[in-house]
Amino acid sequence: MNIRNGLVASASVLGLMLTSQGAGAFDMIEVGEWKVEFSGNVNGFLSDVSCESDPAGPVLSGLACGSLSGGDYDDNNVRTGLLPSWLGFHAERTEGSIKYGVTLGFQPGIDSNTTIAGAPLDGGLGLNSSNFRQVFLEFSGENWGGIKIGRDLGVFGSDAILSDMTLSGVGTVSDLTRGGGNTSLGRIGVGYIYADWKGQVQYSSPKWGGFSFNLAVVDPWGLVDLSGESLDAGAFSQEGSTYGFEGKAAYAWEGDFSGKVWASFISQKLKTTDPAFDDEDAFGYDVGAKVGFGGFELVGYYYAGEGIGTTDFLFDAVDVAGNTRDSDGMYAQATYKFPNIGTKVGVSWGESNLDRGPADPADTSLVESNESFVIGIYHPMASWLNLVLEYTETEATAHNGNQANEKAIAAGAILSF
Amino acid sequence: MKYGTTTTRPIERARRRLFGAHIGPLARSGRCTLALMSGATSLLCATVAWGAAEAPRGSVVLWSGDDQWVKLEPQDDPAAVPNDHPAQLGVEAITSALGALQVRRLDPDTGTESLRAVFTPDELGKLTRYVASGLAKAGPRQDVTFSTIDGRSLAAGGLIRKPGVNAGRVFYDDGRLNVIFGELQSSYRKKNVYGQRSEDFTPRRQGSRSTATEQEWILAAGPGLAFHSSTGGDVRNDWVVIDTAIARPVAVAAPQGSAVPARPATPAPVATAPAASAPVPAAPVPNASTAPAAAAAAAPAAGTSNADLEQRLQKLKELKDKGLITEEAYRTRMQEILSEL
Repeated sequence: MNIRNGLVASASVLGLMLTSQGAGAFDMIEVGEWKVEFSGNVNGFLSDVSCESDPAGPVLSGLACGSLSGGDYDDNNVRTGLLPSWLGFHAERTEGSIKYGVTLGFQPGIDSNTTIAGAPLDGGLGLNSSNFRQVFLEFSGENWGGIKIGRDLGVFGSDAILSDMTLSGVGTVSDLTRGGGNTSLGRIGVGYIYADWKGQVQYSSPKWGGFSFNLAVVDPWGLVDLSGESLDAGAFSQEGSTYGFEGKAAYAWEGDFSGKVWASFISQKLKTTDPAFDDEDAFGYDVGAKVGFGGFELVGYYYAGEGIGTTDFLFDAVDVAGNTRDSDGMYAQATYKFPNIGTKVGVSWGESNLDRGPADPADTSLVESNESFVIGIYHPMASWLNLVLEYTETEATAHNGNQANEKAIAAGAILSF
Repeated sequence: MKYGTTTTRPIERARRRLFGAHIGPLARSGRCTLALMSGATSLLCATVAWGAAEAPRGSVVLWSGDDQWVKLEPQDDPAAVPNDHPAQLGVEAITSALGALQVRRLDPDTGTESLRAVFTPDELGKLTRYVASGLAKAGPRQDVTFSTIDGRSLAAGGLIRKPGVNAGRVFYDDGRLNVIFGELQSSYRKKNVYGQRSEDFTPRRQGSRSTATEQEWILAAGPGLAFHSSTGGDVRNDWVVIDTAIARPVAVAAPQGSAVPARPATPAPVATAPAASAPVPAAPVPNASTAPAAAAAAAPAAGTSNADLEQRLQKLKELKDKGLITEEAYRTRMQEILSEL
């Protein structure tokens, strides 16, 4: 492509992108040898959250709002849901039998990064948050699969969040996102560990009659002490001289009774330079199934691990003596989409559990379980606009019996393009 | 069954309607005729026939790649007349037939109409040999379904193109190649959940015998190309019936999307003259799915010859004789056709 053609193409493609919308979608456009596509969404919700804390004390790393505070309170927010607002760009070209592609994703949030201390109130001149969660290149062939290099959704736990109905809603808010942040939590930490966005080199196999697998070498993750009862990467003197590994095998089938089953793992060596601690292994696995028939869809999911923590990978994964904690969790979800009108109703329940480590006292305020129950209605006003009404109850329980409860009602809309 | 030589006889068609597709192949092979001479063998034949009458379940992928495929799938309508399958048509015949298909669309701003081949040379290259092999393998209760994607010129002299999806079902029946389109130059878009562009994509309609699929684009008539007409007289613009002995590919090397003055885009239920890039009178584009057969018969085509006019007049008379159009409509349309002389 010469410069003149390039300029013509560049000027034209933007215009065409903006004028070729049909059924709420930016159509893919070919420019020279490249196919380019913009996609994304903007979503916003009114959320009314009431928080009931335990006068006896906090629930450290509890995901019900009020886990950390000493009193009950209510919050109102205009906020982004679990799914961040998104502007994604993808370009790809094919040469011979190999397809090459790049993807960049920008995720602006409604919520402010800055809050007034002590309350989830936005401060004047506080700008909204923004992330760049996706930056990767890929190349693939029909017969041998594909390689992805860059930052994208992790492999372990990815199907759990992709199957979560609250991805179109808000779900759990928690103290973590009470004051803003980019998104709410949905069912993250109350049924599954967040797959998160990770630097990775991932191999994806071709599909063999519905069967496929993925393997990824992942940027090493550091320990996070969310509760104040754990060691973080610094306190553990964690070395960065190890990669993480994640993998998944899945089988999907189509038809009147369609579905997918999968199993994945995550593994990372936790090396330390401090002679007071031993090196540890973080290892977790999950299994899940999703089936659809008629308008129904059922999802079942379970994970377990040692040293993987809870809510996100390596959150509160080791106790103060550097010993790993065990954790597990599960969720079940049923949705039904009404024919013709397309309205989907759903209900889901899930919990995540974190065991005490050898050094944790029996009466620790560290969270033992985060549990939630969600009812949601998702109505497509148009194929590109969903109206959402959700009710979520979240309960956080500490090992010493402290409890916090959150009741969240969210109403809003998500417009995809 | 050889290309261009087999036209299902009325008796055989009636038999197929009554007893299902299995009888046809067995009868044609002669085995059933002989079998009927023996009671036991006849019973065996009937048993085999009964088994064969069961529509095959599931699909067989003949080719797939990059969100495109050719499959063998059960007929979409259990009550459909069994196809004349297996059918040996050959790649060349399939290429000629599918290469003859064109779409037209009226530009509301300029009033001009675009004509372009439904399938690009790349698509034909991917499609035809698998369609040919599929028809040769298919049973009477199976269709060959397909979905292909390729870019069509959008701007900047073809530098910017828009990928278009063609999807539908192909089957051979009554000596004609039938193609029912579910998608005709539709938009192509990957399903995207949480930034994950999955292997899934916008569901593609595969074409239906019972329900016409509304399309943004309208198929153009041409030599050897007819549109399926239901018993009620409704012309299906998404369902083209191709006489492979007549249909010839359009000039696929020509620039895609060449503009020509607009003309009525009503489907013609009979083969008409080539709808090439010759000027035709401007007129609004009616709803193709509901356009009456009479209008289709009367629709003028570029390069119309006297033979074509005669053919259209005959078709018009046929419609009137069958009571499908009124005397008044017949006279009006006849005048329109005659005015082209």
